[in-house]
Amino acid sequence: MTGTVASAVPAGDGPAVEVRDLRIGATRRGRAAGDDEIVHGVSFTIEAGRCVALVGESGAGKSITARALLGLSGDGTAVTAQTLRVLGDDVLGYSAAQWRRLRGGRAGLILQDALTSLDPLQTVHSAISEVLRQHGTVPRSRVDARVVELLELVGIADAAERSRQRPGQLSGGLRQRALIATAIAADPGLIVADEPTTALDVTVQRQVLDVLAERKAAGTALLLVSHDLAVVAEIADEVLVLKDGHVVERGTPRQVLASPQHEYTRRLIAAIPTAASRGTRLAVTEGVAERTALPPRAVGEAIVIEAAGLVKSYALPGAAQSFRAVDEVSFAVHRGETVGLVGESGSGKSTVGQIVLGLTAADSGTVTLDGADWSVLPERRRRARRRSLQLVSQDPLSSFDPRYSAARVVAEALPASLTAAQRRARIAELFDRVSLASTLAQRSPSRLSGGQRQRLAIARALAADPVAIVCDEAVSALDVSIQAQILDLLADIQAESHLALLFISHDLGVIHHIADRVLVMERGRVVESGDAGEVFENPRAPYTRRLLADVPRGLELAPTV
Amino acid sequence: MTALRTRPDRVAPLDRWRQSSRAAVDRVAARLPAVVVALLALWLLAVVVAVAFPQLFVPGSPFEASPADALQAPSAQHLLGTDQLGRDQLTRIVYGLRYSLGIGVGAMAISVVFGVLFGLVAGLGGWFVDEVLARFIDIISAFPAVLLALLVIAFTEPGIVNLTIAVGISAIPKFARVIRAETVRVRSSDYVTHAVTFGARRSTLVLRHVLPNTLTLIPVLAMIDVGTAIIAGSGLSYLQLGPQPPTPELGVMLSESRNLFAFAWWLAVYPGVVLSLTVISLTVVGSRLQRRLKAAS
Repeated sequence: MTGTVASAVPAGDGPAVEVRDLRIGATRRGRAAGDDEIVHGVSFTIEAGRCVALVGESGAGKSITARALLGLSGDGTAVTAQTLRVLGDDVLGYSAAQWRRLRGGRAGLILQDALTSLDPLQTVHSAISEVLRQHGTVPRSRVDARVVELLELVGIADAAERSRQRPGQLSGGLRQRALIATAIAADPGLIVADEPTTALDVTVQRQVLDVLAERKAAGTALLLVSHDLAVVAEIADEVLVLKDGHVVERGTPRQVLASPQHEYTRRLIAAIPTAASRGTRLAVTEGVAERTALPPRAVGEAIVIEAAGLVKSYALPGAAQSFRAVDEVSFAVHRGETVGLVGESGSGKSTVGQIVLGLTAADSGTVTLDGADWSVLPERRRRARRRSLQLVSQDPLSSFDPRYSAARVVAEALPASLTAAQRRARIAELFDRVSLASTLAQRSPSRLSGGQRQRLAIARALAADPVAIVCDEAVSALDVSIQAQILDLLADIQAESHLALLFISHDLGVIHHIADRVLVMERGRVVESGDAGEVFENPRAPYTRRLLADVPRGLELAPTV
Repeated sequence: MTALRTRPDRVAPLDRWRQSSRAAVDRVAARLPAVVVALLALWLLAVVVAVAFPQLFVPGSPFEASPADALQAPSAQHLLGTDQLGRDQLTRIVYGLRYSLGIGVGAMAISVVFGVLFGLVAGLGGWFVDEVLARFIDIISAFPAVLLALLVIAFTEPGIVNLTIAVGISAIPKFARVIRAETVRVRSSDYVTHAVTFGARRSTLVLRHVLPNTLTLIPVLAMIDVGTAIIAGSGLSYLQLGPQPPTPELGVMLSESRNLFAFAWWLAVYPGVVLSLTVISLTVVGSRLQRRLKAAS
């Protein structure tokens, strides 16, 4: 493989990727290699123009397996295999320089977070042209034209204009597509995509999936890593289900989804929130194959949160008109009720949450809490009642003071009037309520898992003994299995204490699963609202229909959902 | 929410500090073998002991002249030789560390106290206070440190206290900027937002979250700053703007050795080596501590 490699089809007739018995171990100081094996013998083959997907929970070893194909398994890992061939080359003995030539040139990598994967100070043009120059893909005189071509290829309108912008000036969808453009710039024979659509809203997810499908059709081999079976089913030709570094099940998406053989696969599928999962538990305990019903909950008559005519505008620099982030939004949340607020990123749903919480002042409109004035009160008078309205946000870790232990995080939300003994008892009770082991109490939240952190955040919200909780993308950063547990936990808590929930999410499946009523927001306006089942099954607003059309269809294969 | 996180304010000030002025030093410090770092730390310990109890190292007085022994090369009797007045140089260096370190620590204390004060007030106050303080800080930092110190001394008179004040003032902007940025970052952090939803008062927020999380930066920054302040102090002493002879301050000693260098090399070399080693130790040990602290958090 010398000279110019510009073809999407690998040299020779062999498959693009051939992996047999791949093992990855952590080599720590003072231990022999293989003591800490993370991946235990994974094998798969990807032909040109095909897609293989690795699915599983976080920690299953899917990411590190995918990265090993590009020599990115990280320091302190040892990769062994009977066969590890990428684009016709045996890469097992590759030197750092050989890996560099492979990466970005013949094999591209797409990561989850385009914002941190792209250099914020580089324009899109310079990011892409750097790849082109490095790998000598096109003659220098053609670089500029090629950059524009690539951006058009990934579906970016006004490509020439956009190429002069920096990542910070682009929306999430454009950014992720620009990242894909850098990955495919050198026309690679293989693309490794590690959670390429996680945390993106359905619209952007749809765009990204379409671009990936196009590359596949053009003959590129694709290795997709995801915890989202619905996404995987849409694009993959073969699915490998990984658990603790073992492949527990493999097959076509149809086989895996329609007739999952392994219990773990069944659990993964059951964990996905959808229309069919309403009223049932998502987290299926071991040994039970089916979803069980959630405890029944009653929606009360009393209105807990009432928002009327909320408007919030922001001045845009350089623009004559201000930007209306929230435009005439009104709704009510009853006792024990869950109201879902759904829309694309930038639709204003988080701003509504901020206004309800009294963290941002609306330009006009009012919010009442428990039937009494709330948004119009001065902060001094609001303070005493603040604890009755709590927030659970997307990134729990950043919501904890970094110096605090888990117990102290919870203690902060307790009323100051409690004695030390009462405090300890209450903290223990709250840990128990969210199923956090009491042994974790003195631990720093940075040393908790993602699921444990979100449980802690919920425990803290409950410590304030609220009447309502605003959940702002509270499960969006979690993988499907953990998300299932947290959604179940919220449902249990709500059944017990008749909390009102304002649940903000871009994930239609989550909203459909959890919400009694739903508000669909587009550009600051509520375009549709009503009973969740009604809105999702008979959407009237064109925007709702479009959102629903963008949801990956793969899951329809599964009989259980 | 994501847009918030990408605001330049969210860049950890510590990182910005490192990028701006210390990146190269930190890289070197990070690569030094552990043995070297340990030796430097040991040197630092010795310096501290020498400052506290100079009698442990040398029996005599730094001012005790003995013209008969003038300008002797290092020997068994005078390990580091003698100066033009026959004073034992080892004794003078050991006592000299008191002055040099004193100036460094004193100046650092001034910069930390005022830097933190300005930084906090700017970070917690409204935009007007912030702007006024920021411009004031800009003015201070527009003068090169030495020039600023010269200015202070020109208005007063050379001397150890004025020198310390001068050096201290010149480092205020550095601390004020770091603390202001950190204060703004903590103030707009998610955990402060959450504390608001528990009904915490403004003063509670500041005392419970903003202050502790901001001030954790101080000790290590201060340690490294002592090194910088010692250099600045000695430099000004060398220009005879600080303590005057016969004070055994290292900068003064270097200054005095200037005309004698041709036939008494030890008078320039030893104070210089001691000064350099002390500053290097402070910087390297400080940088390593900072690294460890960062890794721990």
